[in-house]
Amino acid sequence: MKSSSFLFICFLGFSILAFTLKKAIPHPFYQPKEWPKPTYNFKGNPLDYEKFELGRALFYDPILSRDSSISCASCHLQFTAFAHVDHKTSHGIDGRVGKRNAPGLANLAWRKLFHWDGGVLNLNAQAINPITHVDEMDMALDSLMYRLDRSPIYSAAFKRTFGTTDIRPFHLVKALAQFTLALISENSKYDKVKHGEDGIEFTEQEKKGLILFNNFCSSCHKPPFFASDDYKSNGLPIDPELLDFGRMTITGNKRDSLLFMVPTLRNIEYSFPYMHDGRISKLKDVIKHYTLLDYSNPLLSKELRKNPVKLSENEQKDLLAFLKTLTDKSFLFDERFKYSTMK
Amino acid sequence: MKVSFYLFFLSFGFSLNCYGQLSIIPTWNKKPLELQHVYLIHNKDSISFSTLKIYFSDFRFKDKISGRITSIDTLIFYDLADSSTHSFFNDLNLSNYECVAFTLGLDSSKNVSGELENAYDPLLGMYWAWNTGYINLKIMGESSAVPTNSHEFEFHLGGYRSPFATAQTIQIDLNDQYIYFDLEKLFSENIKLTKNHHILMPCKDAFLISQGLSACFK
Ligand code: HEC
Ligand code: HEC
Repeated sequence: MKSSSFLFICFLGFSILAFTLKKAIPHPFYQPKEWPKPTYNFKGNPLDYEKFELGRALFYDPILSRDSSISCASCHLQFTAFAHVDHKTSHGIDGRVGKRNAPGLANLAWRKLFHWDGGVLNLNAQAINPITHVDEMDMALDSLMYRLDRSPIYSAAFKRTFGTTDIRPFHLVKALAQFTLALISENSKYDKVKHGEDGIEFTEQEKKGLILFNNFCSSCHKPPFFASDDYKSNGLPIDPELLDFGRMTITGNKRDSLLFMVPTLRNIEYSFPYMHDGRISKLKDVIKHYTLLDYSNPLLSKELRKNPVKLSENEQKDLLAFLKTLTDKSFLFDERFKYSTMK
Repeated sequence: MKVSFYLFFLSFGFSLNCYGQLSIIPTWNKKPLELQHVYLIHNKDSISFSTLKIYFSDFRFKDKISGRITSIDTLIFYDLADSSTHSFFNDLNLSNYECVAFTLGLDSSKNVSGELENAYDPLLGMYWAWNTGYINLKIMGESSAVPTNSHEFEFHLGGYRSPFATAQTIQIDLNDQYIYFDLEKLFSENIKLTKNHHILMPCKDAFLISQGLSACFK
C-alpha cells in the first residue's frame, strides 16, 4: 500500500471515530425515577446533544438583544438557580426595569404553563417573549434572523444541527429549549434522603421542618417539583406602582385577580429575591409573611384560608432548615450548564 | 351584446370546470382593495390601508351532488402585500362544491399548539408572545376620521379565551373561485373610527367587531 493512501485511510478512520464519539455524547435530559411523564412535546424537537450545545451558546450570547448587551443569562444566572439576583424586578436593555422578577429555571419539561401569569403555554414559544420584549432584549425577530444568518458561526451551526440555511424563529427557540429542558434539579439533600442514597438522613430540625411543610405548604408547593400549575394568591397585597393583577391580565376574569404562579421551591435558598415582584429579599421573611396573613382577605386562596399558618419562632427556623434541603449544589455548579460559546 | 354574454358565460363555465384555486379578494366599493390607495368613507373622510393580514382555517367544502363534506384543516395565512398568499388549494376542483364554511382566525387548539413553523411563524407578525396567541385579523392604516394627530388606526383582532373568543365561522356559496371580503362594509357598519381606532389585545371591542365579520364575506 502506498504510504499516502495509508495515511488517507488512517485519517478517514480517525475522523469517523471522532464523529461517532461526538455523536455518542448523550443529551443531558433524563427522566428522574418516580417523576411523572414530561409535558414537553419531544417529538417536535427530538433531543440532540449538538442542538443542546447550540442552545447553550445562544443562552449565553448577547447577540439575541438589540444592542448586543443582554443575554438570557443576564437575568437567569446559573449559581442562583437561573434566577435574577440583586434586583427586585429584572433589568433589561438600556437599564430598563421590567415589571417582574425573573424566576429560577428548573424542571421546565414538566410544566404546563409558564410565567407569573400563566400567559405562556409552552416552552418553545416562551423564548420569543424575552427576545422581543421592549424591557428585556427588545430585538425585532426579522433583524435577529438576519443577524444569525450573517454570523458565520451561527449560520454554520444551524446548518449542521437543523440542516437549514434559512434560520427561522422556530429553529432558534427549539435550540434554546434543548438547553433549558436539560436544566433538571433533583439531586438535593431532600432527594437523596428520599431515595435512601449514601445513608444520608435529615437532621432532627429538618425532620420537624418537613412535617410543618406538609401541614402548611405542600398543598400548593407540591413535591416533587415543589410547585404547581394552579394559579393562587398567597395574600400579597397589590403593589400600587406596578399594578400587576397577575393571572387576570391573561384571562380577563375578575376571579383571577392577583393570582400568580406557584413557583418552585427547589434551590429557593439561592433564588432570592422572592415573589413575582421580588418584594421579599430574605427567605426567613417569606416564612414570616405566611404567619402574618390577613385571613379576612377574600382573595387569599382556600388552601391558606382553611388552614391558617401558625408557626412559633422555633418552628419557623425548622421550616427554613427544611427548605434549605431543597438546594441542589450539583445543579448550581453543573459544568454542562456553564457559560459557553459556539466554536 | 348576445355574443359577449355568451363569451362571458363560456369563460365563466370554463373557470368553474378547471382546477381553480380558492382566492381571497378584499374589496372597497366593489373593486379589489389596494394598499395605500386613498378611499372615501361616509362620503366625507379619507381612508387608506397599509396592512391587511388574515388567518383562515378549518375549511369544509360541501359536495354539490353527494352533500359530502371535505375538510381541510390547515392554517392559511393571507397578506394583501404578498400575492403568493392570495390563492390556495390548487388541487381542489371547486366546481364540485356547493358551498364552503371556514373559520376566520384560529380556534383555541391552534392558538395553543406551540407550533411556530410555516403559517405559524412569528415572523409573519401575527404572534402575540405575551399570551401565546395569534391575531386573527390585522388591519392598519390611516383615516381622517380618526381623531388623533397621526390619524392612524390599528386593529389586531384576536383572542381565543371566553368571554372574548374572536374566531368566526363563515359560510358562503361557491359561485366561483373567489371569496370577497367587503372592507367598506366593515368600516362603515362595524367599526366606528371616531371611537375605536386602536385595538391591540383581546377585549370586548375586539369581540364585538369580530362578530360582525361574517356579514362582510361573500
Ligand atoms: C431582562 C431580563 C430577562 C432576560 C434577558 C430573559 N429573561 Fe427569562 N424571564 C424574565 C422574567 C422577568 C420572567 C418572568 C416573566 C413573567 O412572568 O412575566 C422570565 C421567565 C422565563 C421563563 C419561564 C419561567 C417560569 O417559571 O415560568 C423561561 C423559561 C425563561 N424566562 C427563559 C429565558 C430565555 C431562554 C431567555 C433568553 C432568550 C430569557 N429568559 C431572557 C427575565 C428575563
Ligand atoms: C395557596 C397556595 C400556597 C400555599 C399554601 C403556600 N404558598 Fe408559597 N407561594 C404561593 C404563591 C402563589 C406564590 C407566588 C406569589 C407571588 O409572587 O405573588 C408563592 C411564593 C412562595 C415563595 C417565593 C418563591 C419565589 O421563587 O419567589 C416561597 C419561598 C414560598 N412561597 C414558600 C412557602 C412556604 C414556606 C409555605 C408554607 C408556609 C407556602 N409557601 C405556602 C402559593 C402558596
